[in-house]
Amino acid sequence: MNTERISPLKKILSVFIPFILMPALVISGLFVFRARGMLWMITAVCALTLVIFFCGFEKRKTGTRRLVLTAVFIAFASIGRIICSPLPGVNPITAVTVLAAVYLGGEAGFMIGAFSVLISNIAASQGTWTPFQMLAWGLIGMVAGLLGRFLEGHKIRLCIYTLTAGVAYSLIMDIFTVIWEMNGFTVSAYRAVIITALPFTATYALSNVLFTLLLEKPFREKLGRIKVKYEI
Amino acid sequence: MIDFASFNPAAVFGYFIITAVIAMFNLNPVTAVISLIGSLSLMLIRGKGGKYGVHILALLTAAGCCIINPLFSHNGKTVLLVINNNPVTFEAFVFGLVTGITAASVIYWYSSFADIMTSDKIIYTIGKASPKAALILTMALRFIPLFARQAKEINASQKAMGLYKNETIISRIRGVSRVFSAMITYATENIIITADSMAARGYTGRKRRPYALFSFKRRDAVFTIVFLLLAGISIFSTASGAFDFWFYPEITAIRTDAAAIAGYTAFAFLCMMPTFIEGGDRLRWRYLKSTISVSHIPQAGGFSTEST
Repeated sequence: MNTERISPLKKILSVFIPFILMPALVISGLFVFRARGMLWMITAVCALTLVIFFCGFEKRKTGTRRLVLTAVFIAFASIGRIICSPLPGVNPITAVTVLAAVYLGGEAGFMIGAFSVLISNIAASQGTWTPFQMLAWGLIGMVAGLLGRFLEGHKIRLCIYTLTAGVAYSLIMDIFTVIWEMNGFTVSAYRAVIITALPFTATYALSNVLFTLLLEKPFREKLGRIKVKYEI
Repeated sequence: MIDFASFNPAAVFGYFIITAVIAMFNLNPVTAVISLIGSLSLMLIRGKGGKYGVHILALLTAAGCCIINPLFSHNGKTVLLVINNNPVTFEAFVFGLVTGITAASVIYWYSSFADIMTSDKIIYTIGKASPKAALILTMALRFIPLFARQAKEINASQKAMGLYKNETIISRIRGVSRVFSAMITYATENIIITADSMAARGYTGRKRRPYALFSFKRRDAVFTIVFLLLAGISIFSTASGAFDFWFYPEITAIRTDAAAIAGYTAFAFLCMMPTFIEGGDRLRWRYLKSTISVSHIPQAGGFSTEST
């Protein structure tokens, strides 16, 4: 490994951008867009968090094989979501992200979750919600990667994880829906949105479990083998 | 022909992001309508008005905002009707309408963005900041058509071998998962070879330089300066309160003083910039074509008759 010397300018920037520039951007936006302050804050914070995550990944050295495999599963998850798009609430992103993250690790999990949303939203629609969705799915993948040892090969644990992730994701997305449509947050509106979205939440969480059950075996066999064979 | 798509991707990317952010985070009927007109006219002038899916999505989103907000938000003075002891107010409806128009315009902006910013341009734009993310994104985008084609082939071969039955739902699901399983094997095994080949060519070694087809010309600089200036005026108007508009408890009047008019004009020019760029050129082309009349075309021997 060749260790590069970090220039003082880079050092200053690495402190200045995340700790001064980004909060300043969010806070000044609050004064500019007063009418939609809450929506601005939540979107800007998500977008900037994503930037910080990706900068972190940029610094880490990732093996070429792991990098390319990450791209493969992004493609799988995106195709799955595009195919399932006629069925509301059904998509395999969570299942594919979690199962791949268990074998490939947290960084790959984050990338698979975030990028498959970004790509498949091209077919659905991109909007203010994109950074929010990317962060939510990225974190689902990352946590699955960190829990890798605990989840690997356990069908029941995996199902519980994807079920919980599905419900949690829906509940968090409902917060966003309330802020987006009402420009504020009230508990009564949140309750109303949760009740309206209940069928979607239920289909989504159950379809997650179904996809996990279907995909667990091929993923375990193939990724397990690849991992041993190529030392990823 | 100069069209908006031929401008430098980084400038176009910045334009779309900044315009959409200003449109999205303002809550004002005038800016909402300006943004809708700007985004829709860009789509129409590029000849993409026939994408019905986008129109349906925009309409549904707008309608959803118009319906949901008055049902859950009971602020406002003017009561239109009462449902389950909850008043439905005119103000809440107008709020929903403005949010809906804004959302629809953002969908139209995004539609043009996706049309103009093809994947190579996006990768050029983010590639310098984040080469790893750009590489993963490029590869994933390339794998999607590749895997779709391969899945079709596997499906066909399974059918030919008589393995694939679609009599009941369970046998269909089994068939699909068998195809999927074969796909994973195919993809992972093949892609490892790609990865090794990349490593052998020195991917991990030195610093990589992306191949870029795009240059930053003078007109890109002019475009960037002009749009940043207009965006700056719009943001200043938002911050200084010139775009202020309040719905509750009563709808306020739209400000029509000089500062507000200047702000709206700047935002209108900002939103119409791509349309002007595309449209101006198209108009000039029309004009040139219309001046090419038959009499101007020199015919064989035409010059000799003139000289005599």
